[in-house]
Amino acid sequence: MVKRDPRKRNNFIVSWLFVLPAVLLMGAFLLYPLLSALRISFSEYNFVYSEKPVFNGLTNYIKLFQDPHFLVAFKNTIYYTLVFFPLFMLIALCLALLLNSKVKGNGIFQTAILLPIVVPLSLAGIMFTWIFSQDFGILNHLLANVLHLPNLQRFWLGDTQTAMNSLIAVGLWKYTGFGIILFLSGLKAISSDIYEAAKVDGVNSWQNLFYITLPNLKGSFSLVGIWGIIQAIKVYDQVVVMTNGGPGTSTLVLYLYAWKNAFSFFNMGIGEAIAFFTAALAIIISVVFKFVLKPEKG
Amino acid sequence: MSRKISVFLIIGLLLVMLGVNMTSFAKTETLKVTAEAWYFNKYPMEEAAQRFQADHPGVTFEWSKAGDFEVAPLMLAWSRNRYIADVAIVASPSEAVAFQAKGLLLSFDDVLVGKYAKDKWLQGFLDQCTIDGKVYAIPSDAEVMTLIGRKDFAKEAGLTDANGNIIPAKDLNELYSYLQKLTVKDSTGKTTRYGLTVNWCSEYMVYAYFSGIQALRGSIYDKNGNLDFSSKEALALLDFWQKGVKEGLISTSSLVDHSGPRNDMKSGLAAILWEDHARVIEIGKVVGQDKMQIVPIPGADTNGTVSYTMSLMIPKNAQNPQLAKQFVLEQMNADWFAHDLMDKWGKLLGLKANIEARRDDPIWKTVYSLADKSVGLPKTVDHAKMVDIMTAEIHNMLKMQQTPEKTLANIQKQIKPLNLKPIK
Repeated sequence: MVKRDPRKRNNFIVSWLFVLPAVLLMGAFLLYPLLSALRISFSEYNFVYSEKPVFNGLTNYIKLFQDPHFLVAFKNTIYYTLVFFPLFMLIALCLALLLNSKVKGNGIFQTAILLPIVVPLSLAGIMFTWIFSQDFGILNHLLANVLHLPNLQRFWLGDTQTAMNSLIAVGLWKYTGFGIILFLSGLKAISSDIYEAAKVDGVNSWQNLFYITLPNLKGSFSLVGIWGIIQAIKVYDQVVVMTNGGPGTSTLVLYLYAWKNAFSFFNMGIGEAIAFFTAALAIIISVVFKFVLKPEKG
Repeated sequence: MSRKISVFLIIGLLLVMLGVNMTSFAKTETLKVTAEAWYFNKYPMEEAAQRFQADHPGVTFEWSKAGDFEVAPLMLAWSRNRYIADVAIVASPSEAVAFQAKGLLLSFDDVLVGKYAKDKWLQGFLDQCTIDGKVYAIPSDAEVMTLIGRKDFAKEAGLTDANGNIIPAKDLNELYSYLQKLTVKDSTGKTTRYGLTVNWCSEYMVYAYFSGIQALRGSIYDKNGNLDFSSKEALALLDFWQKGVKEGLISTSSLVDHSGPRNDMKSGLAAILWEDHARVIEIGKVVGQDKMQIVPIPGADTNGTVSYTMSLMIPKNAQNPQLAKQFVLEQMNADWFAHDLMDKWGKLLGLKANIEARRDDPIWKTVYSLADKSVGLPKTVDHAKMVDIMTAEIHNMLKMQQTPEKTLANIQKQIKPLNLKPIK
């Protein structure tokens, strides 16, 4: 018979006692609501007219794919992600590289680029609604009267061709700053010794970038990428404030449609199903992205 | 001497303490009023409370301010029997249906007598608050859908009578010819002033559409009793809108901005607005009240229009329900309260007497006449879904992605599975 070490057992109990408050809080405010929401996503539940949720299996998830508005929202969210994500990565990386170099006036640039992070998106949305306004907007004014390009004037938010791209532009304005911070921290972590050694070997700037900087930023790419994917898939704020999904359904996205189902149509079952579908989508794309960036062995 | 003073002091102290205790025995009743926060800033609720307190000593008030569109969480709390209010001010009577479906409301029928009897109210407004023949809400903040015109622009276009008033268009064709005359374009063909701006934003879309249908054919229902998406008038209305947008006669600013149309009017970018009558005050404050006129939608002078009201409700678990009903009727439907709403915001209450007092003013005379003939949208379980479908389809049509015929067909197809049976 193996005798248990009482000290080990005491350590085990004490360590559990330390983490217990956190576990209880997370259980009560994270796990329980999550499981409860998951259960509702498999139930027929209109919280105004139904007495309680009634389990209906996969019906809500099947119904989603028969709903034309959901399919449009899904397509729009994918479009948003496909356009937003590469632009976000590219702009954030380029600006981070620029800010990392010793350019004059770097401090001012850093402040200007990082400023959007502190502006609430709901407020920025109102500001951009005015900027993009067809008749009073400064963008159309600049195009027509300053740049003398009146043919480029558009009803930016009211035109189905440009509405979603305008929202993407606002998303980039808001989130790129955070991407830059993450890339900058990665850049600062690269040892200057590597660059000095490369300099001795006669490496030029482009070789520096492609053979030293970018390979050493793989960790940052992974972090910024996953963060960017999540921001793209859960796009909501600027859509609600600036277009509310319109005109028509041209900017309807998954989270907005989930909200509409839950709190406007009171159909909590469908709303939860859309929310879990969206979460699953974000997880799958993030895992694929992580897999693509997996470090090579050996 | 000092002993006497001490005795007096002790007696005095005892009397004061007794007095304090006596006041705690005095009966106080609190009325808790719950509404979205803007309501308390916009309307004279403090004054209403003070006036009510003068008539009912001992009543205190508690204002419970909710965020915008917080009806759903309110309903959840309410349905779990939590006391949230004695008076709840909720966005629209269609939400009353949702509350009543759960048996959460008290009827006003017992107090609608004498000067508050049911026939003293504007029928179109009260109908919206009636479920199964019982009145479960009192109309407030009401509006009727209409056209609001700029008299100065109309005069330039030769569309006014000898007194400078806009001559109402008889039908959509005549209104279209008005728009052609009112619209101004620059040398490049870009519209610098639209003949008309319509509020097609979400919920307004439904009111704009059905106000047109009601005015054109005298009913928002087809021959089977369903909401009309198939009549020739429905097609004519959509055709009128699409053609107007295509020709640059009608502004589409409302497609993403619900304030777009009123801003069009305030800035002189549009000559006529198709929205609720209350905007006439707001726009008049900017461009001058003498330049504004309420003009019926073609046909509305005889067929009526569509109206909208907010609703004052008494939850079943209110702590002072009778007092709450008294407050709603005595103060929130008093002449002074009604006139404050009308003068500052253009909004209406439901009692006819309140508006009749202002019938000398041509604006209120026309509004009264329209309100008297107005109808409400039906209260239905799937109202919000219908709004969503109509908005998406009509927006697609206005962006020239489909014809009016296809738009009506799509709406009919998509609303088929919805529960749009009117709850009477």
